[in-house]
Amino acid sequence: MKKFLIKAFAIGFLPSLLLCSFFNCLNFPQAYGLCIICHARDLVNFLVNSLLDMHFFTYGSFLTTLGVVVGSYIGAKTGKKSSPLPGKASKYFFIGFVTSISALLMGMCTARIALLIGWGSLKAIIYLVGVLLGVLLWLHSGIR
Amino acid sequence: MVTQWDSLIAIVSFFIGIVIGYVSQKYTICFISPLKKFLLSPRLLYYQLRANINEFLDESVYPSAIVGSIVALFVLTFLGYQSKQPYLTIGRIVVGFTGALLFGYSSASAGGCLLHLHWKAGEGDKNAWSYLLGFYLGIVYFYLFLEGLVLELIR
Repeated sequence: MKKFLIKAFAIGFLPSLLLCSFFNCLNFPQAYGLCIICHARDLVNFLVNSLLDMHFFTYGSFLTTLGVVVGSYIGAKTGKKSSPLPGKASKYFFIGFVTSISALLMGMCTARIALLIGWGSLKAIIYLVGVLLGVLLWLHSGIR
Repeated sequence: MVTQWDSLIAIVSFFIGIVIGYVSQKYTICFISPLKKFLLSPRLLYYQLRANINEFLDESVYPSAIVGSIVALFVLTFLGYQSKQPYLTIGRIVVGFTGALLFGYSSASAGGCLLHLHWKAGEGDKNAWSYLLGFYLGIVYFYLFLEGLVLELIR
């Protein structure tokens, strides 16, 4: 039960609450505390807008994705590492490219889907069914 | 120009990110693996649930995130926040569902969700860094060439 409570606090409770404690909730979409694609988009577009004077859509300079990388680096240094990803780097580059475009089409990632389900969102449930079907397609494809 | 507001967002989100990254790495959190497990052996999950509910909850990702989110919503409601469901359009749902299908397929072939690949990169995995390079270039590509088309489809 301890692991469950830690995960619930770190992934569900903390991101949703802290964002609203420091800033006004109404400035952001629902359950915006943890969304890797949204925060990565905000960071990239903020940098592009600042450096190239363009006007891409952004909610601000979110550094959550950088924090995740730093946090896991600390975790890996103090604890054990998981097994490395198999396959070629070029394959992962292509998959990363496709995944970011598909996640932007959806407007959220699986982490935010879970948070939004907690907030009673119908859209998140529909998208979770879509993701589930996508995984099912992959499981039945020859690539696997 | 960077305002005080932007700096505050950056600092708060960075520290939230560190906590999320640390916990994700420690407990190998992934939002795609449970879906794979569910599709491959739903009976096994059912038997795990019946055998020991505490162990099942410890291994779970979705239930913990959902419970944490619900508690946060209760606290926010108590503090005076009013949650409103956004208006859904057919175009938005169709485009989003197509994206979700593609996202599920590509994430399953990558071996994990976006959060998983980010904490994997923090561990120093070269393939995860390669994935992140493609991921961030994909965002720039989307906003340069695809955003207009998607906005047309949503309308």
